[in-house]
Amino acid sequence: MSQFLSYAIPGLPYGCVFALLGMGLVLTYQTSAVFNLAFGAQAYASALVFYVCVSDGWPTWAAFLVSVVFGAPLLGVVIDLGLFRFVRSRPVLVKLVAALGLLIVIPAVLQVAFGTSNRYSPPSLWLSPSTVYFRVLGDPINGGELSTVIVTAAVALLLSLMFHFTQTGLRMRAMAESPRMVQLAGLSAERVGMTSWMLSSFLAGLAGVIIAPVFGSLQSLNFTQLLVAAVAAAAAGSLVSLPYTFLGGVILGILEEVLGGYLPSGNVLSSGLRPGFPFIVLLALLLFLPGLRRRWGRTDDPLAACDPPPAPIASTMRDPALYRATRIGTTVFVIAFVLSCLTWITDNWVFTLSQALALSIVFLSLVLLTGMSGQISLCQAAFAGVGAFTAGQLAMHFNLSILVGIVAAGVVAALVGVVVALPALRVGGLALALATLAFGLLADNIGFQFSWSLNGDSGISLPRPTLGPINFSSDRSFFLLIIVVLAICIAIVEAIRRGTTGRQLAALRGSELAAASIGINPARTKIGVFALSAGLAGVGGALYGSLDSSVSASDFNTLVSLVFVVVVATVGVYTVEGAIEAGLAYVLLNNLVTSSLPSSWASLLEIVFGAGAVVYVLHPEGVIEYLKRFAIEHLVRGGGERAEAEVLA
Amino acid sequence: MSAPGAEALPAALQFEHVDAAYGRFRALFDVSFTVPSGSVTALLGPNGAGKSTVARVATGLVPSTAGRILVSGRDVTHQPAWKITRLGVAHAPEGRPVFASLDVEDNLRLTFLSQLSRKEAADALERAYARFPRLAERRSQLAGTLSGGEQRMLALARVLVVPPRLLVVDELTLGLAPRMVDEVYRALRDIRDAGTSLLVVEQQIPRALELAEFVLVLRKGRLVQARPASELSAGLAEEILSVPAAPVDGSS
Ligand SMILES: Nc1ncnc2c1ncn2[C@@H]1O[C@H](COP(=O)(O)OP(=O)(O)OP(=O)(O)O)[C@@H](O)[C@H]1O
Ligand SMILES: [Mg+2]
Repeated sequence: MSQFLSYAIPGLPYGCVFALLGMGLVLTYQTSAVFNLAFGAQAYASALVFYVCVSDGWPTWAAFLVSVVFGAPLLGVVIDLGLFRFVRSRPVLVKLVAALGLLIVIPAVLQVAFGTSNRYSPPSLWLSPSTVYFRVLGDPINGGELSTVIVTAAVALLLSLMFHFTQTGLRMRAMAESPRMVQLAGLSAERVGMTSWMLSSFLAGLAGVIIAPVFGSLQSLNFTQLLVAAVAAAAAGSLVSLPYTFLGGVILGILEEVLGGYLPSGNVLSSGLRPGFPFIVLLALLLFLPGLRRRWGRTDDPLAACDPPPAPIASTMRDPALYRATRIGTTVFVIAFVLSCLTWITDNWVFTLSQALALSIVFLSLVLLTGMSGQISLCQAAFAGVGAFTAGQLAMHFNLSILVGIVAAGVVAALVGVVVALPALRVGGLALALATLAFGLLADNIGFQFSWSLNGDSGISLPRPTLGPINFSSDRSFFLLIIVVLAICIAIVEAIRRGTTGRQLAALRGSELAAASIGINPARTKIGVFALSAGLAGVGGALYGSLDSSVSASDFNTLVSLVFVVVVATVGVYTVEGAIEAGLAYVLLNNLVTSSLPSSWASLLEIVFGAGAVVYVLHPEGVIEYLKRFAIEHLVRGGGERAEAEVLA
Repeated sequence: MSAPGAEALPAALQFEHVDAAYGRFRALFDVSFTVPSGSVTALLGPNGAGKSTVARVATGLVPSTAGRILVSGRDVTHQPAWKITRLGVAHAPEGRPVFASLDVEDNLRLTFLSQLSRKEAADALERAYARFPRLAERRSQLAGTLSGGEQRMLALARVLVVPPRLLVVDELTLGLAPRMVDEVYRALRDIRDAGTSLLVVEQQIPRALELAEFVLVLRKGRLVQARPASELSAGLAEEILSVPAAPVDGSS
């Protein structure tokens, strides 16, 4: 018993922080219909500002005022006004990309503002963690734990009271159902929404400052990982109930530490458990909490009929003129490109372009998954990692050619994809996104650390392949191989788009219910596509690894997955060219920033991608697609006006 | 096209050449009409004619793409819905006109507290319960679990107690039993007697004509008739709704 307690008690502060973040998530999800994945980043922002103020010699209370009481709500107002206000009635993908953009941008901007130096032992907010105040059954309770629990309990209580008994709370509850009905009651929905953003951002800031000392050093990734735990807590409250979210968070924190305590220390399993455990809990909740399943992505706004229908998928309504122009342009360009790469372009550049094309295969998996079937995955990089280590390990241990390895990589990644997607697919977009996010973190922290997989940060090596007498070890011949594989992958994706499956997917995007009524099995079709997409990512990962000759876990971590989604969505997720353009854009920008600019500009890349996410909100068809259409409209038509479709007349 | 007699009265609501669209789909074309102050105007038309769209544009839920909208003579064309509401326009939308996830009392309090002081709101609450005892019995029940008729009563209770200048009701009788329809019309009559102007969207034409002084007929997003109700018999109205839109004798 006392051993149990000695594990459980340190878990309580963690649990409190999960609870605070979870309640913030519920609050914004309810009032602005946005699942704010950037919450961890907001917590990090407050923790960082608090740290900087205190180390500049400010008194703790002043630092707290600036970082949490004023700073955090201010950040909430800024992101509401600047971004989330505009995505409220948009599809889940748009909201997620917007939040992901923030998640990437906020830490990057902070790095520019405050520098990248390491920050150790963040200061504590209230009671000192090194003082023991009293003992419970012999276990010491220190000031850090005590203050965390007291502050959290007080805030949670106040919040629940406010939500249920005040006018502000009443307005927020009304907003949760229908902002338009709130408007009809004579209240500005924007103002109510802003209040709840301020409140939830305050919670995020508070949670960040409280948890920072526990981490030992301030790193934004720690805070991003907190998010999955917060999501699990929010899921425990079915995304509506603040008290259950609170309870869920606290129990999760305690369980995590208890499990961590009983597992043998020092191995991968126990060190990776903290980020991995919430994933397991989240999946279990998705599977066994029926109320939750009904609530993901529900819309019961009686005035939803005021919104225009969602824009049709861009590629299906492309202009014939644009089609012709792209087809001719692409053919000419591809021939010129391949010939150039084989002749006059320098080896360095051929290598860089090969990287871009290998990544294009991974990005193609997102075009298939998101553009064509409307599903969202936040762990494509993890699938690429699975592919890379499958090919690498097969080559290392069984001396198999990488060419065989690439096929095996696709198959293994597809199988893993099925396992990940099975529980979440029945639930829909947001749940799948969160399940894949959690899976990505699990893969980072546990899966890729074993020596039989990617061997952590030390990595594994992959040889270049040979095929009989042909040797692909030179960059140019490998470039040709990548082109061939890419072409095969594109052919597969195009065949699906044109074939029965493509039609089924189009039907499913329209209405799952209607599609089911004409004999399409939504679950089977979607899982098939998800598996194929994971397989493509695996193939791309194996090629990428073989090109680089070595890969490690950090090449495929969750942040990389998130950046992938943002990049592809920004450049164009609805067309096959979009994947290739995204691959080129990603690698070229990366090269530019890492090789040509001073290292203090490193976060520029993230800022650019984050800004891209904002552009995506404005142009969901993708920046390049938008530019192409714009150009076509003005060049081909001479700026002629387009006749608007009139359904009525 | 403006209803005859409108010149004599200050208009509660006025549309001047209004167009509206849902994204790329245009739903209203050059709609002009007037709801005279203190009168009841019925808005009729077949399914999909754009009646609900007119109601939504009038209260700012759907933006107009051209033309002007005036409420009591004030231009509210691009105002947000809550500002128009504050000018004294109430809208009972089609379908479920209440907050399903709030209980009856919270539904009422939300509206009252946004326009009245705390004490007046408590007062208004008591009056609402006095007028609709059935709501008083169900005050802590979630509005979503009320019957369809009770939900419409709840929506009307909010406006009966604090009468707005203009009330827009969108098919409030849809799917109700005749007894309930009677009760809805009794409440609407009370609201009119309290001095509120009404724009009533209705499918049950005879019922609408009992109450309305003016009639507007929409077809395919265009206004094809605007005339006093006395010039229309119920049978004629049915006929109007079924003839093709082509040439219109809207000159009255
Ligand atoms: N959210 C929307 N998106 C796109 N088109 C819409 C939307 N709401 C309505 N429409 C279209 O606008 C037109 C007018 O619709 P509206 O709801 O105003 O008709 P109505 O006269 O109220 O019909 P009903 O009697 O069936 O309620 C219809 O053709 C409808 O299909
Ligand atoms: Mg209607």
